[in-house]
Amino acid sequence: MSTLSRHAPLALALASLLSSAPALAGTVSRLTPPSELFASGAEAPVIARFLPGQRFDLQATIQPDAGQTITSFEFYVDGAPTRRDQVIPIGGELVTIPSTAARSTVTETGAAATCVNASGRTTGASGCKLVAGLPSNTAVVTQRAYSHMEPGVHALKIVAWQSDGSRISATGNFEIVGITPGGTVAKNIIIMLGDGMGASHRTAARIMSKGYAQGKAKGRLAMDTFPVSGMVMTASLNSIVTDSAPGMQNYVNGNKGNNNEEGVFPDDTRDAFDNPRIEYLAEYLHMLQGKSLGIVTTSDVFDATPAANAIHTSARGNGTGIVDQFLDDRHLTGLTVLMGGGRKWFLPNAGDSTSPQPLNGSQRRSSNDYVLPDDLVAGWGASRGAIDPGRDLIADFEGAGYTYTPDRTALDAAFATRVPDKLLGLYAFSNMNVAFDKVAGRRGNGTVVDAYGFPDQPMLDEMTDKALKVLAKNPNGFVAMIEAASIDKQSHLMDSDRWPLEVIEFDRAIAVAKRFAEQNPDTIVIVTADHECSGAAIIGAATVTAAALEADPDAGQSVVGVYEAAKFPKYTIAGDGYPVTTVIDNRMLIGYGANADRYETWLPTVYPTLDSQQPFSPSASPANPSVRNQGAGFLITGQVGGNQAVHTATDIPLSAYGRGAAAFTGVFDNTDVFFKLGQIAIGGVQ
Amino acid sequence: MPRSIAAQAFALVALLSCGDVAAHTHSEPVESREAPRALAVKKELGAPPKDVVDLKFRDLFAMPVGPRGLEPSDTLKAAAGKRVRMVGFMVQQSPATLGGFLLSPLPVASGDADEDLADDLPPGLVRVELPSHPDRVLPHLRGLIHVTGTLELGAQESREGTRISFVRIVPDRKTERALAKLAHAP
Repeated sequence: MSTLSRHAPLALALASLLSSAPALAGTVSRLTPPSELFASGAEAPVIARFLPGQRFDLQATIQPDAGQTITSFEFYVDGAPTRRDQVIPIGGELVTIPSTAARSTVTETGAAATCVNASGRTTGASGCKLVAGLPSNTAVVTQRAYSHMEPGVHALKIVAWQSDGSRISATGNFEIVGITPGGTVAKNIIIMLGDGMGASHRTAARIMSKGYAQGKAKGRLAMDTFPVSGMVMTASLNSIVTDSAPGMQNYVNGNKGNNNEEGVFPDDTRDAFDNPRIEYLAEYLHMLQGKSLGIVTTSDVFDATPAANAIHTSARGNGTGIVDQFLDDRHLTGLTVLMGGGRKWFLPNAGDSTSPQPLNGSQRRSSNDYVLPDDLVAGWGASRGAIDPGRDLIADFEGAGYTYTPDRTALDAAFATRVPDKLLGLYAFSNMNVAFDKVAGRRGNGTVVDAYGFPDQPMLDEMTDKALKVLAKNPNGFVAMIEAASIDKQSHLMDSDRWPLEVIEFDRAIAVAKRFAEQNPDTIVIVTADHECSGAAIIGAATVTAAALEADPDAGQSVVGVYEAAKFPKYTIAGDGYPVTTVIDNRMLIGYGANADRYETWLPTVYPTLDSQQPFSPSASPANPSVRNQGAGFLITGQVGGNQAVHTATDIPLSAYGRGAAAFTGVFDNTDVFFKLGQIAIGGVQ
Repeated sequence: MPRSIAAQAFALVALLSCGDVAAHTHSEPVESREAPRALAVKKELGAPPKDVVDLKFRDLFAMPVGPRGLEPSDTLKAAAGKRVRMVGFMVQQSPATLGGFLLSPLPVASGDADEDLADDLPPGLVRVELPSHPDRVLPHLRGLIHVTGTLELGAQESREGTRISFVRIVPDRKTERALAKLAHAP
């Protein structure tokens, strides 16, 4: 396209804006980034905030007048057109992205009989482009990978022209949060994420692993020793109660996301991978500083928290596309370490059938894979992706230089002679087993880990140690997200023996991160959670012995000692750092404020409760808490439906250690964490 | 826990959780009924008939799981072409598949609409064929059932062309007769 022709639409747009235009018509039903200015007309609060140069997509859903279509559009920031060619570093090279390539208009082009109903509204049916309920001539217009350098609140305006020449417009705003230069920067960022970990979870782990005497804790958790703590507000874009996807992504892109969505703003198209993107901290710092990204989790690596550091999708369940994108977009994210469970997503499934699965147990399937549209590929320099359930993703990771470790023995062996440059660890088919059962296995009782088929899984502190060794090889530093996923999962299940050990395991990993920061002072470590789960509360302790509980599992309230009757439960800690047993006399008792029905015996079950994401659960696992101990335990009626406890909107504690830790005090929003980290990593601390 | 106790626990929990489906809920109602006496497992089964081997789900794969995924166990490979008896749950499929059903170690549901997210279906589902009624469907049967027949191993596409099974049981006459009584047009 010639210079003249490229600029012609822009000139036309400007002229149109300045001229006495026809009266406004139609409506803009969504303007992205989201703002209160657009939603309600209020100037504050400003919803969308970005760091200087952080990329994000501009998008509007435009509902034209009847019989009209959208013929062109422009986004304006502070009155100036946003269309411009971009020069961005991709894979170490500067690449020019023509502005026209990074724009798109999506309309309902699916079969009218399927995609439009008798009322002229979209149906949102499979194979259609738009979600349900929109006028059939609706257009979703997008400009990809926009960024702005000037701090302050900026006005965003969309102007779209209809086929009759009339225009539709709407206004919103966003803010660029400035960075103060001149300080001493932290090269390495370590985010220790205890999924679902509220204050009660931390307290329970302290009581169990350290003990109390005459009101004083006899020891401190590693996270207790962090010098600065604050409280974090955790709401998502569409609820006071977040799920793990926005709960994580809000920390690492600075913006509120909808529940179930990762690295994107919501939109009105059906495609789960074409949503307006927001650049992640790892992508931003990889682009600016060449940092690496490490993701370590005890869950399936496709799960919401790990994915919400590198993946952009509005459907957290799209496992095949999510794990593919980890590898495909490593040039954008700097992904260097990926460790956790989820092997089933990495195995080839040539037949694309998952019920039943192929004999190798692959869960890959074309229906949750991804292919990106042209404008997104052009704007972000992202890999297009492919529908390829037959892909051997382990082999592709290995081909890209990652050392693959399927168990603890292989992990240790990989470090025997040298530290690998890149590391892939897949230690279970789905979520890894929890500490309660892994520790039992290491002590000689492999009942659970053997039944799952993975008797040699590493603990989170071991994974953390190895991950940091790999990441530290990059002289430019790294972003690491290390997640204890099953604090949340076992809290959902109200398993009062298994989640405390998850917190203890997490704290041992925190100790590893703290030691790293002690040895590498240019490091900031934060310990936090995405949200609280289950409304867990330490209600007291049993007034009877363990034997008495076992003899009368239906004892219920009669054995709950509150206030001074709770005394100080005394657990014995073994040499491996975990309780010899959780079943002690006068044991700590946990209640739940966000509970579903459950039968409570105040005792653990031999097998963990069935994890719906775990395909290899033993048949002996109770199906859920509402049938677990049924016929034996004391029925506690829940306040929520379903059969699991739920997340709560309660603020959660955050503790910080290392360079810049002082920034994390007070009460702040989860999105604030992103800007604090940006300041520490780029502008530094005075 | 020793294997024998684990097996008892399996049976107990399985019985307690009969009809309690652990996977997704579906907008499409699924026809469901109690398993007929000829198929239902209400107590520990006696010894299998002569020349029939009890095959358990946990014996389908080599353990521990391999670095490149599951691998069929020697037990499974040895059972190919032989008569086996398996105990499990009928997968609650919506819509029901033609000419057979899936047998699972856990009570689970699967629907075409959300199959892409049904990552909680356990591996090693066994397809039970109904060769006398290839174009008919079966209602979902609640609770544990037992199936006896000849084991087939190897990829085979379903009549609908949408699924590929790798382990199948072609039922013996008695099992086939019990199932055929329940079969109806889709």
